[in-house]
Amino acid sequence: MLEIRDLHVSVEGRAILNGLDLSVGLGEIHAVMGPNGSGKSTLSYILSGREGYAVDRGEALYDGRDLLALEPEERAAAGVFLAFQYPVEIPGVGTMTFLRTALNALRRGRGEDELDAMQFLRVVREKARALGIGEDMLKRALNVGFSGGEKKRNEMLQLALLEPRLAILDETDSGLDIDALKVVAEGVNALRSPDRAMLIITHYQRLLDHIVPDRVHVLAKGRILRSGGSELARELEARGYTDILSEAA
Amino acid sequence: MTTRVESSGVESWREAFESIRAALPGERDVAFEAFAARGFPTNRVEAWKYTSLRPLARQRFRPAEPDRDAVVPFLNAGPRIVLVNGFLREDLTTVPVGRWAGPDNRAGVEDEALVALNAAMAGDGYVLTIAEIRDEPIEIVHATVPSPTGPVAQSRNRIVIASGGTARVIERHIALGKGAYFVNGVTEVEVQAGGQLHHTKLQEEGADAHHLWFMPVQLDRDAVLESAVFTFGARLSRNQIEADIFGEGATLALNGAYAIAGRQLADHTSRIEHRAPGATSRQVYKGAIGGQARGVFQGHIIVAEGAQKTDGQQLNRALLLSGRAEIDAKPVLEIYADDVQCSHGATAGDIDGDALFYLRSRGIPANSARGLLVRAFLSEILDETPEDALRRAVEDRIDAFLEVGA
Repeated sequence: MLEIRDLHVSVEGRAILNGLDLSVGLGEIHAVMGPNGSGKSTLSYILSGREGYAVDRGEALYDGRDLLALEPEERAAAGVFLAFQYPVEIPGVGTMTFLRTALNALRRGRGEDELDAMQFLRVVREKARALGIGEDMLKRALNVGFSGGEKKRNEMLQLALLEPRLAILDETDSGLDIDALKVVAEGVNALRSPDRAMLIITHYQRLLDHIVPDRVHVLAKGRILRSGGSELARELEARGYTDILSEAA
Repeated sequence: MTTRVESSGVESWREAFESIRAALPGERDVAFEAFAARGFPTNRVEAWKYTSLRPLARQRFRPAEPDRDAVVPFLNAGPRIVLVNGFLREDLTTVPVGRWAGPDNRAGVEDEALVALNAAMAGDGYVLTIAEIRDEPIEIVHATVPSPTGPVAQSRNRIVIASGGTARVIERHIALGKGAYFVNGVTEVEVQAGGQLHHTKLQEEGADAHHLWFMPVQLDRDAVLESAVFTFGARLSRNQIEADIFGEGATLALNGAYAIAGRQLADHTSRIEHRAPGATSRQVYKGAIGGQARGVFQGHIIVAEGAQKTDGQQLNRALLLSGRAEIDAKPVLEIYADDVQCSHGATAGDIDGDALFYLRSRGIPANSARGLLVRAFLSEILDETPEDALRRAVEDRIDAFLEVGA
């Protein structure tokens, strides 16, 4: 469903991605691992449509459509979701208002009826409970004053609520203690489905102990240097990135 | 000198003044000459550096006349005071009020040319005195009927909270119809020792209106004034508050939220003089500015010698929604006491790009996302407002603004 071909991306004239190829099929979970500065976050932002990135060459096709030509909200409507590494704090916007506005915008786009306040409350409560999110957190302004773990759980709540077809998880494990990590991993695993693909972007292997990927790719210097099965993640954990980088050099 | 002042429109105002002079109660000539000597302020006057009234001075206005028939809409079913074209409508007013009987030429206030003009020409105004604790908000409507003659409505009003009194007051400024007009009004506020006034102003003048409103404030010992202004209407508006804190331990909170677009200009000017020790003043003004509109904030805090333990804070934040929107902010702290806490802050910027992207990445269309963020920005001021009907009215105005301005 996602087909990235020879993608070159730069930021303010500085090349970040240099010919990245990646193919993710429906129902698959892929992990992209790489050291700091390898271009991991750029990959997640370019796929979700953040401004400030120049595509110099190549393409990203999503169900055969030119993904990079779409506005961020159009990508969301088509089923693309990014779980942010650093979820944004927005004072004055209530978490519930935000969740309902987002869900109803997507439902409208899919030609479904909007949920009224009561229906929405039922759905969100059930999904929040599964992620260990309390009512008080939902009552606060969006991500304002949330701990690192709470922010990540809130991202997972959005993932569960919006039910995307392609979920991109950017460093979802950072800032989580081991208990929170398990809760988040269970949430993600519950969403594994033949109708959904996931791209897990991470520096460390530990999240992949809980969410076992079908494929693992090593991203360094803006390209995929190696791909393999889930065992590649454990190899990286044991040996570090240095060997692969030197092999490729 | 004379030539410059006369050319700035004073002569047509002299004609207008003389046409109604005989019908006005009290001594008026002193006030009119005080205005005539100054003329309409231009950018050359420091306090009017960012808001020139030169265009206004060139236009001809006729003194507005009482309108006994106009239908006036209300926010609440509760107690109210109604003025149309600057004249009290006794048939619509349900609160016992006194009437303004002419200028007392209080020193200081008349330094302002427009206040002098108001003192010279105002034909009416309410005097509201509260000595008890009143929970139910009093709605005060200042309505103006536009007409091709360009009416000028000038009323002079006064709110007195006596010791032990507490009141909530909502002042609304509205147009009854479309067209140009000019409002030059004054609401004097006096809160006596231990009294409390919660005051909200909702300015929804017509699109072609000019609105100048002055609020001289006097606070005695332990008096409390919380005043919030919401500015949406008028081509040009200025809300000017001059607070004299002469009582120890008084509390003053001035807040403002405005949303302007097109070629609107909204000026919020305050001057707070702490003359007694241990008083607190707080100001937060937030504006969303679209189109080619311009916001002005001037906040002047003076802490007099001997006003120790003064706590004075002011903050001005502007959201610039277009490349041609503008804010001029001028905070001034003038401190003559040595044991005080005073601060000011000002920010101006576009909508936060990260926040916008976050919302859009969840499927919220760009326009709705911007609307959510503008509403969130202004909500800090609105959240302080306890009255539901008022809150809804403000929210409706913000929604209308988002359709055209953001």
